[in-house]
Amino acid sequence: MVIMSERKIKVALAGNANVGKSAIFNCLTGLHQHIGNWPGKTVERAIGSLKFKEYEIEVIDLPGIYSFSTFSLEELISREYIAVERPDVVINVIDASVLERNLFFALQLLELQAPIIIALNQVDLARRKGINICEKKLSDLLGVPVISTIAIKGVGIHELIESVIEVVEGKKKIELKRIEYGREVEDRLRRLEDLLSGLKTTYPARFTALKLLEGDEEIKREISFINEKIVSASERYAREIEEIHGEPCFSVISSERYVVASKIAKEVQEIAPAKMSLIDRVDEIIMHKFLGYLIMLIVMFSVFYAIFAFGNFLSAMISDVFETLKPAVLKVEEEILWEGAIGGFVACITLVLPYVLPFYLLLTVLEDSGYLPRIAFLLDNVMHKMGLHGKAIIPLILGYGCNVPACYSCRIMETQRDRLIAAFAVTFIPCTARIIVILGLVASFISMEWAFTLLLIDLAITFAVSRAAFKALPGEPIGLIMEVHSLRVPSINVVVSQTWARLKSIILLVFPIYVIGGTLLAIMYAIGLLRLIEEALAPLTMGWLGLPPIAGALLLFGAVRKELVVAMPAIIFGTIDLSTVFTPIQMLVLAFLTMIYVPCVATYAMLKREFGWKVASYITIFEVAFGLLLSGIFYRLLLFIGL
Amino acid sequence: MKRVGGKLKALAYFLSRYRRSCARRREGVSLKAEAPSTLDEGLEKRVEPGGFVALIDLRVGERAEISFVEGARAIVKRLVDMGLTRGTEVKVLKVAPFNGPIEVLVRGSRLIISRELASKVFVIRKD
Ligand SMILES: Nc1nc2c(ncn2[C@@H]2O[C@H](COP(=O)(O)OP(=O)(O)OP(=O)(O)O)[C@@H](O)[C@H]2O)c(=O)[nH]1
Ligand SMILES: [Mg+2]
Repeated sequence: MVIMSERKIKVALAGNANVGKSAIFNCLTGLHQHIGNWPGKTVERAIGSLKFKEYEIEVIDLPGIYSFSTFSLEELISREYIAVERPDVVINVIDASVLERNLFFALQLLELQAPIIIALNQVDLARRKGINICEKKLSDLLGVPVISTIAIKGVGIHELIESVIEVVEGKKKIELKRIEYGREVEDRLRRLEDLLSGLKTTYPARFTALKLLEGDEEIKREISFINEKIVSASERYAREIEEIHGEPCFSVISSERYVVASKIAKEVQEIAPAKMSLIDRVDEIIMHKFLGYLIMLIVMFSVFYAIFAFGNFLSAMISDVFETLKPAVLKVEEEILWEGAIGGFVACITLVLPYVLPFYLLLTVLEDSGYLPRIAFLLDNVMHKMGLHGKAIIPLILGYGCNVPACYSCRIMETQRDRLIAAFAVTFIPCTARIIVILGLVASFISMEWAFTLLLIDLAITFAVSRAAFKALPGEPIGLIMEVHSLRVPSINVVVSQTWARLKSIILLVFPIYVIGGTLLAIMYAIGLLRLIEEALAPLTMGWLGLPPIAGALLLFGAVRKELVVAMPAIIFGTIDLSTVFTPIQMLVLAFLTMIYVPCVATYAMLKREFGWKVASYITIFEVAFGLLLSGIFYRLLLFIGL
Repeated sequence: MKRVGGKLKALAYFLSRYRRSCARRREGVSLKAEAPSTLDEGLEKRVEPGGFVALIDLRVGERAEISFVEGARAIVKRLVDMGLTRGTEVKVLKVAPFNGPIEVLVRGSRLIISRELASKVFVIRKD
């Protein structure tokens, strides 16, 4: 018997934004990369693997891009990855319902001379739009294999991977066709290619020549180290082309490439006139200039209302069950353990699951439907007032789920400055943890109206601080330009698996913190350490904020996980009825403070990763000071209106 | 005032382009780029003062053909890479209220473009 050794191969997924690369990646690897119906979710490459036949396949999910210039980091990452790491196969995922735009990118991959297989994805959606694409013709025109897929149903994925293997084994040949530009460009391109031939460059000669003509700084630098003359020749050629066409050379090249893309698209697709479907009507209404705003408000309100109402109901039910389970007589040590560890566990179940699960579910539905880009359209000018543009609303909305991935998704903003302002604004958005605090303190014991009032105040604060940051950081945002994809009924598969993946990561993070934190707190309480902390912080908590002494400890623990602010008193005082611990005003102040006083540890870590520890620390210090200041004022205001 | 200046500049730019533009050879090779034909043919009757409008000035439902994009290199490159190249047909689908962005149909896909960017794209109205 011969034992076949496993062969390792590398496959990269590349293509425009929101075409289904991550959906295919998840299909192949069984992982849970972020999927949703808006462009720009994957911002760093993700790696997974699968075994197929005797192959060990490493799959790389690249960020979605429209071109290979160096104006954005994502484009550079993808370009370098393909040219330098040289994956054995690049799967170019194409959204069949917008073929022409996707071909513009495919042609650039062709120019990079990557070994391409095309996954013609979302054919179901294309068909619904009346678009029919002939795989065979496309394959012939480009000289690469083409496989139709429906990633969210797993259709075509097996064929895709088979075809990857065939290419690797050489059973299927890829003969990349060559795009020819107009004469003025083509002549000069050839001359540059001749000059470049024989030189060792990162990218293939023709691609390098093209990029030189386009004036790509990166490549100019590379070539100028080898031969200064080639760069100056390219500059001269570019000027000539510009003279002839009367527009910048890079613009001429893109135009001509689009002409080819358009020609191929016309050749291979048949478009039957499609009727306006129900979903198109819905699309019209939610983007309507009056109704759109109305519906947006209703949707947002309903989401929060549903969470509040459903969460309260479920939470009460679960905690009742636990109360009855609690043993009657305990020794002191057992008491500590029970209250601490089990209490932490109970807090997690009763607080996290009832609120976080439905919230994530709804958020995922919103995301996968494609509603978020439409909100970006409606709110673009509001976001301008904050120094950002419409796209920034997406991280803000995601921030209501959890600030950590939301800060990460700020990368959809184009410049570092915009990313920073957006991330700063995100840290003021109350995530589920903080919403739990608002619910646990305010909605349960005061009123739903007050809970909503707090959320609105917070929105106003977010707006104000972001505007202040915009005034403080010089620079203008690059304007909004974003592709809008078809609205769709969210796929149950996607919604369930995405919600589950997020929930799982939260539970894995939260359970240990709760249990350890709970135990720690109980021990600190028992040995009197808690009292020391409370006394040290008393001037602030009692004097300035009018809170009970325990608040000092709560706020410390709250910096780790915000829900601990409500979970801890339940553990210490052994009761879910917090109205015996706090007065209504104290509850409001505590909830208000928790919303803004500090980014939690995980958010801090993400901020540090994205912007460095200095910026992360500045933000933290600012928020602590700002939160304390505002809360003190809020407290006095509440006293004044005499709640 | 700013917009009028932009238009004049636009006109001068376009005229200079027209004077210099030379005939292009066209062949029917399959992956060969040809200049969008409508542009040169229709040029004479279209180049008249006032023929250009900024994309943002179109009304909902209007169709137009892109003439050129003005602005900083990075911005032009982005717009062009998103498919707003010379000779391309665009149709305005929606305009957001309160000076918001517009939504256009271009190359069979929908794009949202903010007001500032859309005022850098100059087009010629189509009937
Ligand atoms: N109808 C349909 N929807 C699909 C298909 N493949 C993916 N989708 C949906 O398309 C959207 C985008 O999919 P993603 O996998 O997130 O796209 P991506 O290319 O990774 O996007 P970015 O990371 O943002 O560049 C999601 O809402 C998916 O549910 C398909 O074959 N058919
Ligand atoms: Mg992705």
